[in-house]
Amino acid sequence: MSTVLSVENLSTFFKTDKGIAKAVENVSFSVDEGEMLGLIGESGCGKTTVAQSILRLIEYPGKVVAGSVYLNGKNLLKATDSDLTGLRWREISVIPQSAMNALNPVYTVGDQIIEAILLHDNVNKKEAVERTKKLLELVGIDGERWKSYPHEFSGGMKQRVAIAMALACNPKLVISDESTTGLDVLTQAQVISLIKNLQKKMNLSVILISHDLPMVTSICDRIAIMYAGNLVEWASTEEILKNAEHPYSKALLNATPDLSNPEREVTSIPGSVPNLVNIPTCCRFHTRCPYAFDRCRQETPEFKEIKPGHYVACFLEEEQNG
Amino acid sequence: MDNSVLLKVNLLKKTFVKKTGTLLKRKKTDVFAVNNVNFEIRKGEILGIIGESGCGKTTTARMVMRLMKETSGEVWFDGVDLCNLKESETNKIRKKMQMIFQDPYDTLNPGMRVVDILMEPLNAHEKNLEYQEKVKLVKEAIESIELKPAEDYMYRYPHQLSGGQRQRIAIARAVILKPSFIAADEPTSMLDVSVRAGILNLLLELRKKMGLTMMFITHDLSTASYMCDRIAVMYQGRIVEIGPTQKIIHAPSHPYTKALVSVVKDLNYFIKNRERLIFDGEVDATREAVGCPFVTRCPHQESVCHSKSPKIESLGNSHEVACHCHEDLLERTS
Repeated sequence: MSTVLSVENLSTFFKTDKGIAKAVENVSFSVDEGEMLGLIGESGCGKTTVAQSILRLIEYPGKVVAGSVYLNGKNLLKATDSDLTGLRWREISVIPQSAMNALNPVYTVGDQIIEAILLHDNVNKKEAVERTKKLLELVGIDGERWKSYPHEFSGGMKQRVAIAMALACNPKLVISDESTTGLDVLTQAQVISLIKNLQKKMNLSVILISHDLPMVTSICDRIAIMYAGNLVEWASTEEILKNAEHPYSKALLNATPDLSNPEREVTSIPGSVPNLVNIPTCCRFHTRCPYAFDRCRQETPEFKEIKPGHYVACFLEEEQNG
Repeated sequence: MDNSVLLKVNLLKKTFVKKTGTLLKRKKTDVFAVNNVNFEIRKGEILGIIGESGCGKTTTARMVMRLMKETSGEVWFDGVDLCNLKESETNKIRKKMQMIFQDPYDTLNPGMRVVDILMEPLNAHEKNLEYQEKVKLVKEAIESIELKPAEDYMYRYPHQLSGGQRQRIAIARAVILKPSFIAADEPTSMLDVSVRAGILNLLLELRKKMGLTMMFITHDLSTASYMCDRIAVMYQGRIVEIGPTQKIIHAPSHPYTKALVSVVKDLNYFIKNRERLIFDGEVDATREAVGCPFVTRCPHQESVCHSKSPKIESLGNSHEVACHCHEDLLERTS
C-alpha cells in the first residue's frame, strides 16, 4: 500500500502577548491509501491545528515553523497559492467541525456544492448540477433536494450534505474534523457508518479527528494520540487497545466507561493540561504522569518506533529495556 | 405512598405552543415536550434518564425542580405534592432538592468569586447563621468536592478555574445545603474525557457519604451504565422503557433501546462484526401525538403502531416497556 500523506516533524507555533505558544511540535505520522487514521486528543491538544497546517489554513498569528507535509510526493508547505487551488478539493478536502455553521444559510445547498465543482473542475453548469444530485444521493439524500436551503435539513442531513460537498471533486484524502460532535447518538452512528462505507467504496484515505476514543476504535485502522501539542503514540487500533505503552494512552483508556464491564472503576487523570506558552523542554505529560522521573522534566522524549508500526514518545520504555 | 419512594412523578405533561402561518393567519399547534411521564425514585437510588436531544429529558427535570410549570400531572416529593404548593412553600422545599446544570461555563456568575457563589444558597436558606459559620460551611463544601486546600480556591473567579474545577464548584453549590435529592443534567457532557471520570466518581462518592438520591440525565448510555441503578429511556417526550440498568443493557426490549445499545460506544473493538442497528428515519418533533412516537423510524412497525399509542407494560422485575410489538420481538429473537 502506498503512502498518500506523510507529515514529518511538523511544528506550528502561535505568537501571543505572553510569548510563543507551541501548539503543535514535532508531529510525524502518515496515512496509507484507503486507510482510516484516527487522530485523538482532548480539546486544545492541537488536533485541529494539525489539520489546518496540512491544509495550509494557518494564518497570522500562527505559523508553520518547521516540518514537511507530503501529499502524493508533493510538499504542501512549499506549494504556491495556485498549486494549492489545484490540490484542495481535488486531492484533499475537509468535512468541517459543525456542519450547522459550515453551510451558508442564504444559498441553497446545491449552489454551494456547484460553486466548488465549477471552481475546481472544468465542467459546465449542467454537468455540475447532475453531479451534485448524484453526490446527494450517494449520502442518502433525495437528489431533487439540491434546491433546498440548509435550514430545511435536520442536523444529521446537514452533516451528510457537508460530506457530499467534501467528495465533490473526488479527493484522495478527506480530513473529517469532529464531524459527528453535537449529533445525537443514533444520528452519529448513521453518519459514521456512511463515512466508513464511502471510504471503502471510493478507496479514500481518511483522517478522522475526534475526542471520542470508543467511536474511533470502532472504525479506524490506526490511531494517533495527541497530548498538549505532541504526538505521544501511534499504532494500529488493536495494538493501542491491547498494548498501549504511553501512560497518557493508558490513562485515557481507563477514563472511558465500558458498557460490557460496568463494574470497572473509571479513573480520571489528575492535574490539568500545561500552558503551551513558553513551555520548557520536557515531556509535556510529566506533570500528570504517575511514573515521571527526572529525565522527563529535562528532556523531550523522541517519538520512535518500539515495535514495527508502533511509535511512542516516552522514556519509560527505554528505561525498562535498558 | 411507599415510604422508600422519595420522588414520584405521575402523568406529567408539558406542551409548548408553536406558532406558524402568516401574521394574519396565525396557526397554533401544540408540541408535546413531555407526554404522560411516570416514574419513581427510591431513597438512595440513582435513576438515569437517557435520550436524544429534544426528547424532553431536561424539561422533565425542570418541572420536577419547579423551575417550570407543568401543563398537567403531579410531582410528589417526600410525601408533598409539589404542584399545588405556594411559592413560599416551594422555596422551603428547594433546600432539599438541588440541580447541577450542564454547562459549568454558563452557570457560574463570572463576576462573583467562588466564596460568593457558594454563599448564595446559604444567604437564601440559612439566614440565621453568622458570617463566620457560613464561611466554615463554604470551606467544608469546597473540601468535600476534593479541591484542597479550600483557601486556594475560595477567592478565585470562575475564569481562573478549569472546566472540571468549575463543575466541581457547581456541585459544591448544589450540596452545600445538604439536600436529599439532586437532579444532574448532563453534568459531564461539556468536559474532557480525562476529567469526566473524576466528576462521575465524585458524584458516586457524595451519594455514599450524604445518602443522596439522584436523577442523572445523560445521552450517553455507557456513562449511565456506570452511574445508575435504574435507567429510563425517553423518546419524544415519553418513557419508552424503564428498568434496572443490567436489564436495559443486556436485555433491552424496545426497538429504540435496542438501537441505542447496539451503537453504544465502548472499547469492545474485539467483538468483530457486531451488528449495529442503524435507522434511516428522522425525528419528527411536530407530528401529532397519535400512535407510537417511534413509528417513523421503527423497523418492526405494524398497523396498530400508527393508530394507537402503546401503554407502558410490565415485563416483571420492575422492567417496563411501551411497545405494541415487544412480545412478537421477544419470540422472534428467542
